[in-house]
Amino acid sequence: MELDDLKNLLKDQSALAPSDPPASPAALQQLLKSNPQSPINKMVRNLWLELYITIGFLVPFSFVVYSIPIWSIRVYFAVLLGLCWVLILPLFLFARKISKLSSTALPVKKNLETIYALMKLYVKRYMQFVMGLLPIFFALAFSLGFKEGQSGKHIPAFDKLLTPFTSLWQIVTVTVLYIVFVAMGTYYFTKWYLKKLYGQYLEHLAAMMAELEE
Amino acid sequence: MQDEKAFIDLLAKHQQIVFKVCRMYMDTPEDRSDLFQEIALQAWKSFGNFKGAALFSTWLYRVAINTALTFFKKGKRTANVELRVTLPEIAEEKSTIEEQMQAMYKAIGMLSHIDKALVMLYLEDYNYQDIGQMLGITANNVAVKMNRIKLKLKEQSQQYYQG
Repeated sequence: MELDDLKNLLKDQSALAPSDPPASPAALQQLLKSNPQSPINKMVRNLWLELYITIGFLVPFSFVVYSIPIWSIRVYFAVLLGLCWVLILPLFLFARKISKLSSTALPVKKNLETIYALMKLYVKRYMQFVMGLLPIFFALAFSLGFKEGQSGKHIPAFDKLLTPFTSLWQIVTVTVLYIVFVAMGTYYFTKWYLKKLYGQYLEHLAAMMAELEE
Repeated sequence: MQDEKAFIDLLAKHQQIVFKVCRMYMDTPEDRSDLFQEIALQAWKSFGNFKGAALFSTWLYRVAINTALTFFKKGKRTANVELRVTLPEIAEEKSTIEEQMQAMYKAIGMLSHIDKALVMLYLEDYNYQDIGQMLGITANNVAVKMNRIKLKLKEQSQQYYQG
């Protein structure tokens, strides 16, 4: 049998077996109230969640900035607070852009390309953002710590952490190891996390796009 | 709510399109039900942008195929397309044709996601131009792909039928 033979058989409506039992209008209406499960919709939900969490952080961070007496901690959280404010708009715009995309019936190839590009961009920006924060906060933490030390103010909890290390080279070694450990840990964890969330899906999209290119 | 009612009426009328796409891409009733729901939701979200320039059935096919292709479940393989045709009771001839059709459906089930979309639209009697527009590729590209798919299906279905 060839595909055209099958097509001709299917054209003969009398040969069709009873198909799936039709869903009632009430059942269809019920379906419209459920949550979509596709990866792109999950990504939109993640983005909105990240946006709400970012907004949620504004209150406790503001509280720390205005109420904690330790100057370095206030500056540290003020920077975090600033970052949260800066993040709100791009997160909102990105979530809106993807939401808009998911309500447009594009041709298949264009749809795949758009979803792929957006997801790739999201994954790239996510990674860049996380890794970009590391040097900023290391620099901030060390400079603030240094200033606090110079002013003679000490945070007992931090002092206690460094008690076992008496000489300068020990403190420098521990600090360097700490930076390397945190940087590598963050890099590999973020990479693993993003791959787990979107890696297989991106490969799936890329394979279909390549097939349409042929 | 007028929109919702109009949409539900249209979807109810054309729901066999969604069932066909679900059968093509999912192999368990649960997965088909999930995909059906996803397509219905996606169609509803996009309905505001449906201008009526195309037939609703063509538009629904596009939404359904887009959703099926991007509705990805980790570890899922492609579906074995179910035999949905029964032939009139003409004993032996019926049996032979049904077996050949089974073999053809099995071969279709082994195709890639994109090839399945092509086959489904071809079986729905869309011409290469329309298929190309839905997929976003040229009619020429559709023709090349269809020739390749037809050959592949012929060989595969023969193997399944004989073996």
